[in-house]
Amino acid sequence: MSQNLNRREFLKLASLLPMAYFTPRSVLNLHPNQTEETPNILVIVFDSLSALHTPFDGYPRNTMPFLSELAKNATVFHNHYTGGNFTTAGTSTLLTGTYTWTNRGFKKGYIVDQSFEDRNLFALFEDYNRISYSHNPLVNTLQSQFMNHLDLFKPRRELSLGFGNWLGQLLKNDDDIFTLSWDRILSKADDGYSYSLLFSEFYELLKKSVNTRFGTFPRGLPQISEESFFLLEKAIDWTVDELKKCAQPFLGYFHYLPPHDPYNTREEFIDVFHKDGFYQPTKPALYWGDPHKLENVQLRLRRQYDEFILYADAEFNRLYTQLKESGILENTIVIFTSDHGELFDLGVTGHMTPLIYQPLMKIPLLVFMPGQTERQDIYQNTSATDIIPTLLHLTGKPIPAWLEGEILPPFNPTPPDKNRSIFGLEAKDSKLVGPLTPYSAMIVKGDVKFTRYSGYDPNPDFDELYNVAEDPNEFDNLIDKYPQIAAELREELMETMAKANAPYQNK
Amino acid sequence: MRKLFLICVFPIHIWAILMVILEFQWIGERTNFVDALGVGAYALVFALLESLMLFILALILSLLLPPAWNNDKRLASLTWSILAISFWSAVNQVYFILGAIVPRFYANWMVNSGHPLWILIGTLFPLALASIAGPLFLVLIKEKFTQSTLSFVERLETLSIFYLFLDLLGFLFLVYRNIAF
Repeated sequence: MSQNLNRREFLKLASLLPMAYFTPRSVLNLHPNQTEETPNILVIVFDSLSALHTPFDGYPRNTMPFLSELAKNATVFHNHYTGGNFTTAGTSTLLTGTYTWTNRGFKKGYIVDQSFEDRNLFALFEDYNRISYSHNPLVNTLQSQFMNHLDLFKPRRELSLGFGNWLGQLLKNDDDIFTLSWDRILSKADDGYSYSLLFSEFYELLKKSVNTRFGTFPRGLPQISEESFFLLEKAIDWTVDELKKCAQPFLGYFHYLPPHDPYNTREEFIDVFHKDGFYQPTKPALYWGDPHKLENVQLRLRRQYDEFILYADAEFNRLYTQLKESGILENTIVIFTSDHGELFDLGVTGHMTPLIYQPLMKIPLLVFMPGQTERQDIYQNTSATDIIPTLLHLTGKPIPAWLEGEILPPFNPTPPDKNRSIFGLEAKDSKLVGPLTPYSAMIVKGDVKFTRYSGYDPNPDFDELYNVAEDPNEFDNLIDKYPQIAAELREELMETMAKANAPYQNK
Repeated sequence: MRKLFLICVFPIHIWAILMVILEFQWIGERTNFVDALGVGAYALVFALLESLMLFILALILSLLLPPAWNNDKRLASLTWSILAISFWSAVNQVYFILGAIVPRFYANWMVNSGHPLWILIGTLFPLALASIAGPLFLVLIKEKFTQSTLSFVERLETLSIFYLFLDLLGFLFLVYRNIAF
C-alpha cells in the first residue's frame, strides 16, 4: 500500500470495521500493561453470614438455593474460619492476611496498625485496577486507610438512602468521620448518651416512625447505620455495571451488608421458614447472654435471619448470572465469603459478644475458578488469612513472608498439613498496646477446638474444648475429659499470642 | 433576643464540649488526632444548629408568657426554663455515662410496688416540674430574683460568645476537611 491511502484502499480497510463488533469485551477492557491470561479477582463478602446457617454445613433450612446450584462449579470449603467475631476483626484478617493480634484490628471501628497501610490485599496487586465498595461503615474505615492502593473507592453513601445520606453525599470526602460524628452526636442506641443534649431524644422517635413498612420490605428497609438505609439491588446493579466497563485485570472487593441485622428481608422471603418444623436446642446463657431470653424469641430471630440470607442468596445469583452472561467470569476468580457469623444461642442474638462459638467463627468460602465445571469439597481447616496467599499464588505473584496464611488446598502444590493450627481472637475491649486483656481466643487443630476466655472481671477465666467434627453445636465440653490435649493447645495458643503481642507490650 | 440566643447556646455547647473531651482519646486512637478534631468540629457545628432550634422553641414559648410581663421577666423566666430542661436532659444521659446505680431503697420500692415505671415518673416528674415552676414563680413575685438572673445571664454571655467563636473555627475546619481531604 502507498503511504497515503487512496479511495480504494480506504474502502478495503473500512470493510473490516464490522469485525470490531466481535472483539471480546475482555480485550477491549484490557489494562494497557496486562495480558488476557491475568485473571480478574472478585471478592464478594456478605456481612454476618454464618457457615452454620448454610446448606454447605448441613443446615436443615435451604437458605441458599441459588448458591447451592452455583456451587457445582466451585470449590467449597467446609471448615473455613474468620479471624474475629465482628466486622473490623474479620475484615482486617481478610484484607491483611494476618491475625488481629498482628494487625491490631481487634477494636470496633478502629483501623489496623499503620505498618499495614502498604501491606494489604490492594497493595499487593498494584498492577490491577482495584475497585472497592462496602455498605458497612466499619469496612469503610479500614478501606480509607488503604486508599492509596485503591483505584476506585465508591463512597458508601452513594448507594444508600436516607436523610443522613443526603448530607453525607455533601460531605462524602469526609465520609468516615462524618458517619462516626453523626452516630456519636445523635444516636443514644449503644451507650445511652450522645453529644446532642436535646435533639437526640426526638431523633430516636423520628427514626422509629420513619423506618416502617416500605414497598417490598414489610419489616422496614434494610439498614446500614442509625441514619442510613440501603437496597442491595442497587449495590449489585452498580457492581455489575462497574465491572462491565472497568479496565482489566481488576481486583474488586465488595462487602454487602445482608444478612447483618436488622433482618429486614424482601417481601417474597417473608415467612418462608415459618412453622417449617425447624428446632435446634439452645445452651443456657453464660456470663454474657440474657438468661431470660425466651427460646421462641431466639427461634423467631433465627428464622428472620435465615430469611434475610435468602435475599442475599438471590442477589448474589443475580450478580453472578449477569457477570457470567457478559463473559467477565471467563477470566475471573470469584471468592464468596463472609467477615464473621451470627449467634442465636446462649442468650445471645447477633455477634457483638465475647463469645467465639462456631456459629460466629465459621464462615462460608467458595472459590469459583475460570472454566471450573466440577465441584470440589475441601474439609481441611482453613483461615481468612489464606485468601491473600492463594490469590497471589493463582496470579503468579510472590508471597511475602509477613503473611500468616497458606495457599488454600487444592491450589497448594504442597499437601495440606492436617494438624495445622487456625486461630481466632476477640479482644475489642482490650487496649491496643500492653497485654491483651480481656480476650477470647481460639485454636482449631484437626477436629478439636480449644477456646480461652480471660480477663473478663469479675467473671473467672475459663477454657473449653470441643470436638467440632462430632459435636458441631459445641454441647459437650471435653476440657475435663482430655486435660492433656487442652494443655497442649492452650500452650500453643498462649505462645502464639504472646509472640504476636510482644512488640506491643511496652509501647 | 440576643441574650436569649446566648442562653440557648450555653448548656448545649457545654454538654457537646464535655462529650468531645470525654471521647477524644479513643477517637484519636481509632484513627488519628486530626480525625478526633474533626469529630469535635462536627459536634460544635451541630451544637450551633441545636442552639438555633432551641432558640426558636424558646421564642415560641415566650408567646405563652403573660403579655403584661416586661422583657426582663420574660428573659429571666425563659432562662430558667432552658436551664431546667437542659439539666434534666443531662441527668438522663449522665446516668449512662457514670453507670449510676439507683439507691437500693428506691429500687426496692419500685420493684415492690409492681409499677416501677409509674413510681419513676411519679417521683421525677414533680421534681422536674418544680425545677421549672419554682423559678417562674420567683420571677413573678421577686424583682430581686429577676435582676440576679439577668446578672447571671450577662456573665454567661462572654462564655457563649466564645463558644460561637469555636463553632466558627469548627465550621472552617470542616470546610477544609471536605475540600482538601
